[in-house]
Amino acid sequence: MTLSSDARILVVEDDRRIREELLAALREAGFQAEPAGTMKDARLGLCHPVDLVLLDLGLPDGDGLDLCQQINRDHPALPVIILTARDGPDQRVRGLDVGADDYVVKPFHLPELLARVRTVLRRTAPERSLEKVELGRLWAEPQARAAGCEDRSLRLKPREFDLLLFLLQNPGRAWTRQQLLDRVWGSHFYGTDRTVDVHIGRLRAEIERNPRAPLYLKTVWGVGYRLEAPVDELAE
Amino acid sequence: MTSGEPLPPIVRTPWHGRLSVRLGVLVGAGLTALFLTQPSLESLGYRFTSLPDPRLEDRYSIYTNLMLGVIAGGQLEQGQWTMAPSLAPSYRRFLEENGMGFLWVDEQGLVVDCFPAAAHPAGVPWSHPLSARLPYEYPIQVDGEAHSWRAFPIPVANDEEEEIGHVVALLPGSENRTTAEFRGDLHTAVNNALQYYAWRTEDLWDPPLHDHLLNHATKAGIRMRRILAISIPVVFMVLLGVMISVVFTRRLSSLIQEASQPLAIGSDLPGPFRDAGRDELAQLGRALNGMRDRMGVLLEDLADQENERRNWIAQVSHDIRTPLAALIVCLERAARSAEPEQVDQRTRELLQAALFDAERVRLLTDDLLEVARLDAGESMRFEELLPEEMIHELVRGMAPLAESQGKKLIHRIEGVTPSVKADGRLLFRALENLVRNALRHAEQTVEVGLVVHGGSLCFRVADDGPGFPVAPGTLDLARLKQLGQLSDSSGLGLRLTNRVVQAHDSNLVLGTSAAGGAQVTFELPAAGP
Repeated sequence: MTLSSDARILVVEDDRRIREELLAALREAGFQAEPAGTMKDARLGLCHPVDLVLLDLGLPDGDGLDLCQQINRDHPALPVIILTARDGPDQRVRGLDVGADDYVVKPFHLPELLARVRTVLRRTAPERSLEKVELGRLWAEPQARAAGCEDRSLRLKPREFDLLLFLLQNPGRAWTRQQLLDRVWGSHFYGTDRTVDVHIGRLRAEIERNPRAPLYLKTVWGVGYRLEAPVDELAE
Repeated sequence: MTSGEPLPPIVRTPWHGRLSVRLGVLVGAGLTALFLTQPSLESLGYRFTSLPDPRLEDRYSIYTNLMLGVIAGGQLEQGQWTMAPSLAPSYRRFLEENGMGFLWVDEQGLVVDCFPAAAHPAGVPWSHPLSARLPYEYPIQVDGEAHSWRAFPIPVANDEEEEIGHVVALLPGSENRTTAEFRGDLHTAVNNALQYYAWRTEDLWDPPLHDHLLNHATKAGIRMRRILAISIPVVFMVLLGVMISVVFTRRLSSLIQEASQPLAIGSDLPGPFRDAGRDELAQLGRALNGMRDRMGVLLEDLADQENERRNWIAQVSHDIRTPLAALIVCLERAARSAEPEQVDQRTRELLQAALFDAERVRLLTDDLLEVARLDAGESMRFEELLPEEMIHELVRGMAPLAESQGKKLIHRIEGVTPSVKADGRLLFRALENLVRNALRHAEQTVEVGLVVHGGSLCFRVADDGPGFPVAPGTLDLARLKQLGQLSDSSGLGLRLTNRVVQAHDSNLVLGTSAAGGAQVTFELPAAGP
């Protein structure tokens, strides 16, 4: 699957104008885009193969969060980008907690949205679990359990490596601390937000030039953390 | 009960239930009890006469000692009491020092010896038998001065209990002097004398003198009773007052304590308060309970209203953002597809202008909704964050905007900055607004600074523009608005920033930057190293 040629995107949006313009923009960008104006249409659309769902939350026949939860349950590998006018901090966290891969608040700018779509599609490409992952100058090899920044190899404890690998495999996406605990430490692990903060702090000390002003491992205020490549490095 | 229901009528406390009446009754009872105890005070005087051993009673021993002091000056020879012609010098001195005189009268009633010498009525018969009225006023001369001495004759008996003579004590001055002056050393000395001669005080019994001294003691008792009559009621009333206040303030303070619990939507209301009884405190308890019930209803209403307001804000947010999103998407799509050959230059300019305004509307909407959320008391999400990261993020994110205006956005971070506890999203928003505002007024440069200031961290946004036309100090939005310094007439951006900073228990402070422009600072306490 190439990222933009044949990816099929289901646009679940009740506002006709936004929906149509989104479809047009996505198609112009090379994606296959299918419309759905209601929860019911969305469920029908999910009967066909879909690579990504753009999901509005305020739908006429129900709450998009329920649909997101359902997608997460029935199609765990299918990424969802929530596209909503609800921008409260609790709502962002709730959206991410029910399994959304990203959360875009309306009104948005089209180029920004398309960039996020590409990022999500890139990281959810299936053949990646044991491959070397790279982001900017950062890299990690799951099999060798080795990680580095440029030519310098990082001295990481096992859990720190797990955390870095997980973030490298899911770049650009904001994770709540609880999600990181569940995904990296495991749901059986009894830890607190502070556990995550401490490990993030150690990772930053290893990978960042200035851990107090990180370029890779960034805080998403009110949500959690996100690993991303610095803008200048992406441009290189 | 609804909040609109009238208050329940206040039930008047019956007169016998009023605190003032109860207090009055209690004090009255105390005073009555005091008067009723008068007979027992009377008996205080009587107790002087009924003591089994007079030596054990202080007041009684005074007069006993007085007599002993006199008799000890004589001698007992062959069962007969005789008085030495001259007293032992030491004892004589002792008597003198203690203000006593001495008079020896023989069987015929003639004075045999006495001192002071000036008091010697030589050859003068003692004409007063023991049955005479006592005490006897005896005028004497001491060092040429006339004194009125008081004579206390004391019978002296032999072994057969026959009266063989009298010892007469002479006491100078009025009777008031007697008791006080014979305390102390004399007491000890006389007791020593008593032991020396092995006399019993009962042997010295003299009914008239006893009566006299009893009378004296009774008068002293009356004086004491007067003192007691004043002091006991005072002590009693004070104790009573303390007891009353303890009883009543305990109920009052428990009411106050219960009523002082913090009140918040969703938390338990204080109380219910004790309202059993008919007095004012019970009345207060009932009133507080009534208020509590009404407050509960009001708080529920308030919580409902708050929920409603939040839902409303969410709804408005949705209703504004959705068409705005459509507008921006359409404009962006139109601008993108507006090829030069399809539309003219003017249309392209109009499209860009529309996009610019749509962006302005978006920012205003965001600020408006954020202020509404803060006003609706939506809880903040405090987290420990690195301000340095935030400043770098801010400068990185807003540098393109600065560049588009031909200006520079730089940062200056002094020293190692500690982390702070803050709502990161709102704090970032507040800083964004300050930078946006500064960029609007800056000539060339806007600087975002971070300085450690004691236990706090000072955030600073400074520009090199014309500066604020107001005196440095805490932000006064109304004044700035008056001076036309706000970018929008409502000052929404600055208002939001101010609300956010206030929600972090801090204040925006206006000042002048190093470059002579405007400077806005606020401080947050450091969360850790």
